[in-house]
Amino acid sequence: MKKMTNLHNHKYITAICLLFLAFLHFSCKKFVDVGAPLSEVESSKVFANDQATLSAALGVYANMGLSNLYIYSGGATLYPGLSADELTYTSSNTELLSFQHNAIIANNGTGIYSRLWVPAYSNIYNANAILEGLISSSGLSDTLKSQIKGEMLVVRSLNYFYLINLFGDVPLELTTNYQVNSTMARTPTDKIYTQLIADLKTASLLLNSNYPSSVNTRPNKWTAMALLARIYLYQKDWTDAVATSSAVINSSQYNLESNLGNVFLEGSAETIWQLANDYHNTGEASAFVPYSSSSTPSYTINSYLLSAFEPGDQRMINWLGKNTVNGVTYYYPYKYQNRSYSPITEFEVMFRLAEQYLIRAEAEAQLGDLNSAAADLNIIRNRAGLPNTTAAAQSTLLTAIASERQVELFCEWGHRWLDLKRTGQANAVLGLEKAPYWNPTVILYPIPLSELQLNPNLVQNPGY
Amino acid sequence: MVTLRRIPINHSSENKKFTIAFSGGYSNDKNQLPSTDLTQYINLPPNLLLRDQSGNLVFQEAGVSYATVNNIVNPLALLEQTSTAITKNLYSNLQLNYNILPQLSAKISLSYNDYLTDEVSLIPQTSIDPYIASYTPASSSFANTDLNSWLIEPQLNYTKTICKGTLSVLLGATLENKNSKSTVIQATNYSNDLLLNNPAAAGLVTADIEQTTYHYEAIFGRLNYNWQGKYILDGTFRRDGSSRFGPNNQFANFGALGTGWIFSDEQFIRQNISSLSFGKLRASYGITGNDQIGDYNYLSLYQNSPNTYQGSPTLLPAKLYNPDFHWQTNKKLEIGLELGWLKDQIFFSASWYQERSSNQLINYPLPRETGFSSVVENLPALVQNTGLELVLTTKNVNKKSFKWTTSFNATIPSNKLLSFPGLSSSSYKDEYVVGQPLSVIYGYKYLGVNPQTGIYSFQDVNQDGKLNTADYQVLGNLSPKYYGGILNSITFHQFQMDFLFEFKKQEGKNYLAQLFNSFPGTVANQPTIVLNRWQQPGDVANIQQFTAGNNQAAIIAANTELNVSNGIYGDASYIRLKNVALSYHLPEALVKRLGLASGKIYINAQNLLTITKYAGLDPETQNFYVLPPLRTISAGFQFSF
Repeated sequence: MKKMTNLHNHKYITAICLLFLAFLHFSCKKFVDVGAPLSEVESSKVFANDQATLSAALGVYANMGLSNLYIYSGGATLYPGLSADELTYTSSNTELLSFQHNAIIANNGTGIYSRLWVPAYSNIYNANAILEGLISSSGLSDTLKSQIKGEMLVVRSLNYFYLINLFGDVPLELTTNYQVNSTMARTPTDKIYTQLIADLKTASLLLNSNYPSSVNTRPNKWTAMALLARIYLYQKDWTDAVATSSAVINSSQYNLESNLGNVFLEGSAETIWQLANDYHNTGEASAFVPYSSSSTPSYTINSYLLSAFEPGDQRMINWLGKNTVNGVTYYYPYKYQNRSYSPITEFEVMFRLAEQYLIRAEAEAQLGDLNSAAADLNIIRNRAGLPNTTAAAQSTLLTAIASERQVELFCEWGHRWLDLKRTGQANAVLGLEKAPYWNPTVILYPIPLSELQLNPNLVQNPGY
Repeated sequence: MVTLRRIPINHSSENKKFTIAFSGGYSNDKNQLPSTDLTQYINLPPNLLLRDQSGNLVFQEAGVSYATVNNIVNPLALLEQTSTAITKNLYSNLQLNYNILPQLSAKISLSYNDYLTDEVSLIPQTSIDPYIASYTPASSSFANTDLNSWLIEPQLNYTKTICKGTLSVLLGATLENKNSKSTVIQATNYSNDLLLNNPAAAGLVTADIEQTTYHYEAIFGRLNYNWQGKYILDGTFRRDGSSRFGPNNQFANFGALGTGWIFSDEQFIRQNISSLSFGKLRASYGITGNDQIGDYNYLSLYQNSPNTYQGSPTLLPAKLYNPDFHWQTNKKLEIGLELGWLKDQIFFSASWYQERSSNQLINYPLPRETGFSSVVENLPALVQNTGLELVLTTKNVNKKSFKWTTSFNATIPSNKLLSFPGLSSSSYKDEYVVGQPLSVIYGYKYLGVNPQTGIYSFQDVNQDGKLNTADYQVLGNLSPKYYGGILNSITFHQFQMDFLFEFKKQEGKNYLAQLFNSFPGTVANQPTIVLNRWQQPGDVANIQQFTAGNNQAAIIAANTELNVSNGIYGDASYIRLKNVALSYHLPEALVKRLGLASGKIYINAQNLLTITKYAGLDPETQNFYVLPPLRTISAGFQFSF
């Protein structure tokens, strides 16, 4: 009897254990496969769907316009404006003063790092992710593929343009591979420019002259060429600069606004690309326009810039604001005027026609085509209510064009700072105006200190 | 706050073969603490105008807006920004036990837990500085989060007597599911503060839903052989799987082996050392795993951005992904000794452990040029944690109406980076040193304020006239040298008093660490120690000279170099009276009359006293601008039925 019970017990036990193990085996692998979270989409699925790919591209633009005083919300205007001779800061924030005094330290957390370097590389990553997604995609329409590729090449080129002009050599990243990117050394600017020129040429072939949406809030062929013309100018490739800027001017899609007050508004005929924003007006307006007529502006127009305006220049009336506080008059930049939360009437003007005329004028003057140069210069002068230029010789014409750039493109995308540096005049001009702070190494911003600590192959700029 | 806790319900069948036990609880909590830590405004000018004569909040003085001055805020305005969080927590557990045979029993444990949070944050127009109001209008946010999890754990237990000893075999499994879902509605551009609680009144509403799922499963087995209650041998094996890893990396095997010897039961101990009531020596070696990193880090994902572009929805990359990271394995060796004297009136235990991990799961920091700040990786370094833990418990007095027990515990930890191939070409090159703890202080050696130049000075090790990473030295350790506590429990008739002293010996950030968060000359208050700063050559001071902002050497010394030196660290050791609890237990007679099982009334106090040489806000938080642990006193009653 006992033996039978023991046998019975053994069978019982074995059966239970086997059932148990069977239960576990079948629940094994599948259970820990949870897939993607409901609120997110796998990349491979995004780039198999036209609408999703477009959303990813729009995400790049929405991200570019976020956050106050980041590179495309006023940062690229404010910081170089302080570094050059455009703006004077009237308050006491030490980080902002360090830009004005050309005494930036590598550990500068807000300006250099979180508002310029980080957003630029974040935009570059987003663009690279889409470019890689397009290559490996299947199921996307060809027209959309070309369109988005062209747009992302423009975005990536624009961000690298600002990085190299503010920081000098920077790591040129063309993929999202973090293992390569995290240890990449600084690439020489000439090599980066070569890449940008190639990319923008590709983009101008991929993009159409009309806009994908009905408004010019995304880049088109002429946007790519506008940036390309600027780069040719910076690289002193005068012939190509003339040809490319002419293409934009002769496209007859853009016209200079005769009323200066309309140039920076949403419906301006002069803008080639404006960065839309669903949430607020421009960072420039918030920073520069004082919140009441009796308060001191935080940033005032530097006296050197003020004296650069010729008498009768309408831009002094339309693009400069004026507050008188305790008997003292302060001028502030007034290109963008709406600092209220809503309605949104002003978008960031990324590229506009006036700059193309000035690019062409300078390139033509350099090539010796002085009549055309003067003609282009006069178009801008006349629009501002000024008479034709009296400059006739090449050197005086070039000086006149440089001065015109100073008053037409003031407090806009750091043009003054970049112009002084690319023409080799920064030391001569700012060395006098900004004594005793100036020294030749300050023409480049320092690479952020935390980046140097995390990437063993990055080397700091001289003087920091 | 309302809590109903641990309602256990037990039942067993007539033949006692089958038992059911259920316990559960529910709590409901409402939290209205301010959402901003106001301690960060501790250095605002003491005469800053906060309200005008009519009692309204003020945001400017003499035409100068506070927002333009080094971002000064009116802290009273922040108090008008309310945040109300209601948390409901339900937890429940069901255990079913069936004794199939005398030696074989089956058990299954089922748990369900639900944690709901409902948080409403309001930012009214009256609390916003008009200077920034133009781009930061009145807004409110409504966040609902639901975290629920269930756990199923079946087990089979088998015991058998073999050769005068007991063999227990345990076979078990775990299945776990954790789901979290959060819905956030942000509403902004309200025209009227009275309507802040309704997003329908807002000019712009955005919504965002986030959801994550975590699955974990394991099977494990355990063999335990206990010979005559004196010699113990134990072995476990387990296979774990987690959804946090990519395909091919989800599963890993672990195991442990342990032995114990209760030598107090040996004849020669019983006869010769009769005062020793308990003595045990134990040793174990095991490999355990860790998957405590976020979910979905192995997938390349796009997330819905809450920002539209011209009204169209947008997508953005969620994060950097790494498909190759895997289970972290920790290998731990432990040896322990437990001793009890005089019928366990004095109880002592000491254990020494050495734990090594060669693939710690970390958020590896990356330079921002990669587009992000970190990625999940297994650290390719061998890290070791060793330590000694001591516990001593004494029952000093044990009479019917007077009892006094003291319990002392201390831990002496030690951490070391044993090896890190590729350290010099990694993100940690300036942070870790092989052979040193991970919490090493590695930087410039602080030499004090130079009496001639008045600037913080540091040692230039290689004498090349430059201060850079070549001058870094190993200067200290931020992990505590030792820490522990002493608990005294005294019972006198119906009264009971417990008090706990906590002690810690450590180095931590000193007052120089945040001194120049607001540089002198900006509109911010400075601590009175700056009155003793260096002012002329020959002065010996602890604070460097004040400058008008053009002295690059002084700025770099204070802003950059000081923070990577040991000048910002000092002694942060302390002894703290962490907890005092005084309670009155209701007498038996009263308890019976009220139909209770037990009842007590109590008063608790926390952080009553701190003994420390630390000059700053608190040696635990080590930051002027963060709220330190507060002195708290609470009272209440507890009845059980």
